[in-house]
Parts: sequence; structure tokens; C-alpha cells
Amino acid sequence: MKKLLSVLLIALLSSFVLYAGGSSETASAPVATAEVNPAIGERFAQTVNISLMNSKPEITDALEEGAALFGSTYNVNIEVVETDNPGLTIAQRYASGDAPTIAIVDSAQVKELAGQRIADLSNEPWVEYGGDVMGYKVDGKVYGMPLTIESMCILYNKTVIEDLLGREFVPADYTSLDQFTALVEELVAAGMETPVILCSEDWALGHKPIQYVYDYQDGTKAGAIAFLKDVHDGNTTFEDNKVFNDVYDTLDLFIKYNINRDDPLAADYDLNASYLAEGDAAFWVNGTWAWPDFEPYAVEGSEYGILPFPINDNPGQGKVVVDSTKYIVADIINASEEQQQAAKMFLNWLVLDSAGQDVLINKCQIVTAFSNITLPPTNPFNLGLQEYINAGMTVDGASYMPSDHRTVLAPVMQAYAAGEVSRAELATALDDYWKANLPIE
Amino acid sequence: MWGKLKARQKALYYLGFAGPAMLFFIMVVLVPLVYGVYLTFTDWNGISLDMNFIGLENYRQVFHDTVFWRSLGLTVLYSAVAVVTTNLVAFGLAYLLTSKIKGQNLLRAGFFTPNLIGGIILGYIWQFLFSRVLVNLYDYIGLEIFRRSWLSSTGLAFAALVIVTTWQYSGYMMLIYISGFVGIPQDFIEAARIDGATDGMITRRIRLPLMMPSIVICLFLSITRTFKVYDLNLSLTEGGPYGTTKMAAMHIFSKAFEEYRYGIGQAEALVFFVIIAVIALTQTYIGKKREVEM
Repeated sequence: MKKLLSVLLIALLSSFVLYAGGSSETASAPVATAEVNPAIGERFAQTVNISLMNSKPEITDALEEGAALFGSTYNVNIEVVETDNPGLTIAQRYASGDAPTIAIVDSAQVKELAGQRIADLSNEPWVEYGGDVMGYKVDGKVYGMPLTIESMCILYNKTVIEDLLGREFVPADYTSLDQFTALVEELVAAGMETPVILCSEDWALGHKPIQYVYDYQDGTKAGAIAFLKDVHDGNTTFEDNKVFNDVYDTLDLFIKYNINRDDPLAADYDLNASYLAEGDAAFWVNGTWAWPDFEPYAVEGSEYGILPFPINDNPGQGKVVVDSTKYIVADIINASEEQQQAAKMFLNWLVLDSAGQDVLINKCQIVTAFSNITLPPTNPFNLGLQEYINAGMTVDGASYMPSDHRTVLAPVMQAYAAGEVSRAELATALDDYWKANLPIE
Repeated sequence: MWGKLKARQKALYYLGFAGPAMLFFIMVVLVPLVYGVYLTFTDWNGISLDMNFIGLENYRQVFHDTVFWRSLGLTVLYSAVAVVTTNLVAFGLAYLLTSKIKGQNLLRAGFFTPNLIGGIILGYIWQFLFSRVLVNLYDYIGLEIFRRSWLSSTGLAFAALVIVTTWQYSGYMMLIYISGFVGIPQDFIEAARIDGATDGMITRRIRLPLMMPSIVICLFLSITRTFKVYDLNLSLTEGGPYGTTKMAAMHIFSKAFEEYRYGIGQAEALVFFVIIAVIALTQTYIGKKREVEM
């Protein structure tokens, strides 16, 4: 027994040693040093230690790489911490007096932290390049720097569509529901029984579809808020709303031709990605954020792209929903003057320095909100999105829902997709919710 | 010697031995509990610097939160079913594995293993089984019940939760029952046999009463564990299909951390705590009264 114990202890000990060896190795790995850019700031005489909380797990590696490069250039040591629950983590870190110097968070956290705990970034140089428009503002001041622009939209497999149709596929020809229905029926006739892929997750099948109703009211945030206030005041209802019915006509088509229609709530995200990648289906109702999960399945030689949500006679027809989805904030409570300066320099470096831009666009693979960055996005979904943005073909994404919007309404929409709830019942649930709540402006 | 020590020395001894444990108990149990109770009287959202005292408003909200009471009802039902199945299976296994069948040590280890896997991983394994393996099995054996994933239908998803819970805990409870079985003096049983008692009578009249301590422990453990279920709930069904298997703990978590309503979430947690405490203590009290002294 003692012998066994000692063997176990030795094994445990050696694993620590190995672990320690491994981590010190990565820390001492040589890092390419970029040149100090005077527009960003001077190199610090003494190393400044700061921390970065990242809530977008798919870019952690890229951020670490970027942080190391920036750090070696400006003598700043950035520790990157990953979380998938920014609200919880940032609350804990502030409660323990150890807030991250820089945090990548969702809009809800910026709203709560603004004015008390995070820096007013209105005077930063990147504000004029789009930070003002896409950043998160409270009382007219920019508190959140926009990290990425994403779009909820229809992802498509161009290669398989063209193979089946035998002609070139031009997305602009299928922006109305009538056109899109004809296309889907043509694909069905050509042998693809179920051309559409729907997810099953509550955020994807439950929460996003409802947002299309808000997004396409008149394509602006103000228009959507006005509509929701009308519902709140009892002036109108969802059932009477034309856009609601138009959006649900489209969703009904998706539900009818869903590749997972036998068991819609058992759909698997990775399988869905492979269905689109390998051409088992032509359209995936999802968003540009899906690329990192989609990439491992992508087929060499196949072309992919994005389509706007098909909708009949609507001013938003042919336009994609666009939203800035993650924001970077800088702490002012726990951070020293020097740390705050280093944090701001890092943000400037990402937007203004060519090495920083490379990290943002090529390593993190995002679509940026900043107009001064001319590097093209790296993946087909983001390239597609960039084209829509450049052409001005966008509608505002929904960002004004109260925090319990998803937990209350997403299950109802999931039940609708599973055929358990009627459209009228869903409309009533939406009415009830908005009668009790107001959009957050 | 103890009697000769002065009060101060006694206090020092006490602090020396119990102090460290007390300190940590106070730090990680008492202080958070008291602070948690305080939070239920505020409108704190988890991040904000503003924390206003709002009296009993959160508790009023708790009583109006119908979803919470529904999830609590579901938790009670789940707990009741899972406690019965877990303990029946565990008792049966223990009975079999103390009746000197071949390979009983291997079997004991085998049945215990699921308990060593964390709830999250276990949930994902079973999710794969229910959503993929069983559905594919349908192509071969054509049993209607396997045509669709169990996790996408309300009743079957609930059943899936019960099955996995039973599978997870029955091995652990089995160990406790085995020790109960082994602890019964053989002479009682032999004496009963000589008097002509059948096996069933022996189990009912001798084994069960003498195993009351094991049963009380197993019931206590399984009730409290199933009531607090969160990890399995999250990884197996994620509260789905469409929120119908969202247990109380999960509802409280999303109230506090997804909807940023700390005060209400904390108040619900407190109500939940009181309910579990009452149930568990009542059960232990009743069970203890039925224990037999040897």
C-alpha cells in the first residue's frame, strides 16, 4: 500500500515538474519584436504588468500572440485570461479587487460598468475611424471599443447550389421570400430533399429568429425600438405586425425544408457545419461567427458565402443584419496610471499599427469596425459581410433587449420550431413580454 | 490531565486543533451565507457599484416568479423518482453482490465507476448516446421509441435525466448498502433460518431493520444530491427541449448570472436552501426513529 502511494506521489510530482517545464518553455520562446511606433507611444522603461480578460474563446490564441508582440515592443507584460461568461467573471474580479486592466465583454457589461469603473475612451484616436459609430456609448461617451462586427444571416454553399442548378448562383436574385422559395423548390426538384439547416440551440433556434422581427421593422434601431414601445403601450400587437408575419413566413419555409426536420431539437452544431460544408444542404441559418467551427469541415475547392434573410417587400430586403458584438473596456479602479496608459496603448496599437492590424484581421480573423484598416477579412463569411458593409446594404442588429429576453422567449421559439406552439401563441408570448418590459436605449 | 488545565490553556488547545478548520468554515460557509442573505434585500445586479436596500421586494418577486415554482415542482418530481430508482437499484445490486456470486469484486468496482466521472462529462457521454447512438440503432432494430432523440421530447428527456442519475449514483449508494449488508451479524440470520424463516422474511424482518442506518444515509445523500442537480442538467439537456427540464438550480443560476438579477436569484436560492434543509432533516429524523439498536 505504501509503495503504491509513493509511486502515485512521484507520478504526481513529476507531472508538476513537466508542467512547469512546459510552461516556462513557452514563456521564453522567442517573440518577433516589432518596431516602436511613436504614434502609439514610447516604450516603457520598466515592465508594466497588465491583464486582459477575453470572452471570445476562439481568438484567445491569436490575442496571446498579439499581446506578446505588443508586450515585447513596448515592454508590457499582458496576461490573457479566458472566460465564456464575461458577466460572471468580471463581477468576481471586481468584487475581489483584481479587475482585469482590459476586458473583452458584451454590451450588457459595458452598460453596467460605464461611468463608475471603466475609462471614458471618447478621446482615443480610433474613435474617429468608426469607434464613434460602432462603439458602445453611455451618455454620449464611448466606453466600449468595438472589437468585431458580425452578422446573423444565411450561410450558403455556392458550389453545391451551382452543381444542382447547372448555372451561376447570384445571391442578389434571391432576396425576397418568393424568389428564395422558388430556389429552394428548384433544389428539391434537383434531388436535394432538405436544402436548409436549422440549429437546435436556444440562442440559434430560439433567440436569433425572434430578433429578425425587430431588425427588419424598418432596418434601424430607432424603428425597432419604436415598434416595441408601441407593443408595450398596447397600440399594436405582434400578430398585427406585417414584418412579424413576413419573417415567420420565411421561418416556416426554413422549418419545412430543415434537414433536421424529423427531430429539430436534436440537431448537432458540428454535424450542421459538416452538412453545409460537404453540400448535404445548401443553406445554414446562422451567422458569420460560425467560421471557426465550420472551417475544420470546409471542403477544398468548395465556395461558401453569406445571404441576407429572405423577406418579401421590406425596405431591408437584400440587406444583412449587422451588429458590433464584443466590446473592449479599460479598468480605472484597480489599474494604476501606468497600467491604464499601457491598456490604451494596446487598444491604439490594434487599430493604428500595422502589426496590431495584422493581429486583429489575420490572426483573430474578424471583421473590424474601423475604416482605417484596409486589410481584407480572411474567411469567406467575413469577406461576404465586408462586401455588404462596403455597399451599405445593412440593417441594425438588435441590442436593446432586457437581460431575460433570451431565457423567457427562446424556449417559446424552440417550441414553435418543433411544432408545439402556434404562431398566434408565439405572438401572444412576445406581446406579453414586451408589455411587461421596455427596450433598453 | 484535561481537568487540571486552566481555562486559558483549554482555549489554546481548542484553537490549536479546531481553529484552522473553524476559520475556513467561517470564511467559506458562514460569511458567504450571511452576506448572501444580505444580498437578498438589495437590488444588486452583480456588477454595479450601486447596491440599494429594497427590503422584501425580492421575496415578493420570488413568489410571483411562476417559472421558478414550476422548476421547483419539476425538481421535486425528478428527485422523488430518481431517489426511488437509485435506491432500489443500489439495494438490489448490493444484495446480489453480497450473495457471494462470482467476480463480485470486479462487479462492485464496475458499478461504482460512473460515480467517479464528473456530472458534466457524464452528461455529454449520455447526450451522445441518446441523440446519436440510439437514433442510429433505430435503423437496425426499428424500435419506435428510438426513432427520435429522447432529449428532444419533454417526457423522455425527463426520463433520460432520471436514468442517467440512477446510473451515476446507484454505484455509490450500493457501496453503502454493501457495508450495511456485511455489517449484519450472521448469527441472527442463521438463527432465523433454523427457526424456519424464508429468505424474504429474513430480508424484511432482519436485514431491513438492521440496515436502517445505511438506508437513512443513502436517502439523505440521494435526496440532497438530486435536489441540487445542475451539472447533469446543463450538459445532458441544457434545460431543453424548450426549457421543460430546467431544474431549480439551473433556473437560479440563469436568474443571477444570465439575467443579472443577483438579488432575486439569491432570494430564490435561499428559499430553495430552506426547502431542501426541511426535507432532508425531516427524512433523517423519521429514519433515525426507526433505527434499531443491536
